[in-house]
Amino acid sequence: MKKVVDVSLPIGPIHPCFKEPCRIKCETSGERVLTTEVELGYVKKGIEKIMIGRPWQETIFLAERVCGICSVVHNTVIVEALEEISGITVSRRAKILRIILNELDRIQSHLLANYSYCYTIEHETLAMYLLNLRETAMDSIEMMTGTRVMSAYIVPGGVREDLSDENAAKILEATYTLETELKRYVKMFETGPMIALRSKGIGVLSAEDALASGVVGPTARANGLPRDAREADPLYHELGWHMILRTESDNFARIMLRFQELFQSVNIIRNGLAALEPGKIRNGGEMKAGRVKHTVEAPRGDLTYDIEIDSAGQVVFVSIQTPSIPNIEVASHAMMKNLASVADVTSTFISADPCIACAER
Amino acid sequence: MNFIYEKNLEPMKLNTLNGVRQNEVASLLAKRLGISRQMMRKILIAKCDQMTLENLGPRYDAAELIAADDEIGAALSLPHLTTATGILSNESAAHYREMAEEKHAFISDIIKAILEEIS
Repeated sequence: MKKVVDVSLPIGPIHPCFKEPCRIKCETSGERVLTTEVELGYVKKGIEKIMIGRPWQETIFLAERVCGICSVVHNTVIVEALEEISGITVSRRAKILRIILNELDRIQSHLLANYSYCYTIEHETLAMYLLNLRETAMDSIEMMTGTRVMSAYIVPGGVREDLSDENAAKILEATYTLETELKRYVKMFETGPMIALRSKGIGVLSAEDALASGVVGPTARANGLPRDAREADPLYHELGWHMILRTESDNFARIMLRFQELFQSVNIIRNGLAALEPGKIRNGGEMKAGRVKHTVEAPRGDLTYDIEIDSAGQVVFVSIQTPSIPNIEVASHAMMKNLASVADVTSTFISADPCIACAER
Repeated sequence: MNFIYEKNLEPMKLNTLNGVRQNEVASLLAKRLGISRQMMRKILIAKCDQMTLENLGPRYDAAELIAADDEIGAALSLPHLTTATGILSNESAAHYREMAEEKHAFISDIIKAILEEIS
């Protein structure tokens, strides 16, 4: 007769399923995973400390380097926080250009997250399709900003460069490619029997755990929690944003919710391009001293910068609260707890879209 | 036996607690329990894993919401010790709540007993 033994199983810090280094310590009883503990600290950057004492101009570039995947949103939050401190206004055209860029960023981030999940559950074909489609979004970002990542496109008072009609037409065309291809891939995911076996009812997050952990972004919305910072922005409502929620709370729900949000982002970009009117892309202003706490909806959830600038324009205090922190924590303590199989640990972890670079800011 | 990755995480946990929000929460918890911030940090480092410490801020906020509707829980800081940090088990929390509800001991004595348990 086979014996069931208790094993402490370390996964990582370097593992083929992880995009970034982290370590998951699993306590198992046979195949069942009893508890897990996530250890970070392999890529700690200390960007908050580096920012202190530097002029605000430098912090814009530093903020982008917190995360390579969602660098646009870090750029957006810090610039909007600086604008709030100094009372700098932004023209409607620049605001819409910011939204278009942020939604393109959300598309590439969600596609990367879903690619990682499909790769983790060994559906490499769908994973590669999604990664290939991500290039369409990355090309659009490059067309708009000049680079794929860390573009510093958003600057106080507006944006760095205008969008030409020619490039706007190309981005519009890209949205149709994205939509057409996505429909095919979502159908593959939604109806795949093996995908359902690996995803439905796996990594369920209870409502109590979701509330207690302060989980945000798609991970919260897949639990039926209406948490999205875009709700407070009237321009987003004007461009067709609405809260997307699911209630299954499992791996399948989290991935499907991201797919649903991709269609919404495509729609917002189209509406944004249609709403673009000729106008200034950058207003002037003077940086003032003050402190502000500003939140923007990043692809993974609420991203908050608490920043203070002195009269000389230097950063005296900054605290960055990234969405990956509560999401990784809840994945570790609730979603991966009592899993039926060790094979589900990596897929459940990836379904929360953990960004180690963000958490190790 | 030497393990490759089994390292002492205390310095890393202390770094995490030096974060702005984490430091603030450690001070608030210390104030609630009537102990020094250093003592509170020591307890947190000993009882919590890295991710719980990273996520102290949102968890503390969730505990405050629970405590707002729970007079005894708030007086004994039970949501803060269970929901926010997990340093007290739900069974122990229920036991201390019962002691307070049935007036077996003063609140200050119960907090002392809680401190003894978590230290």
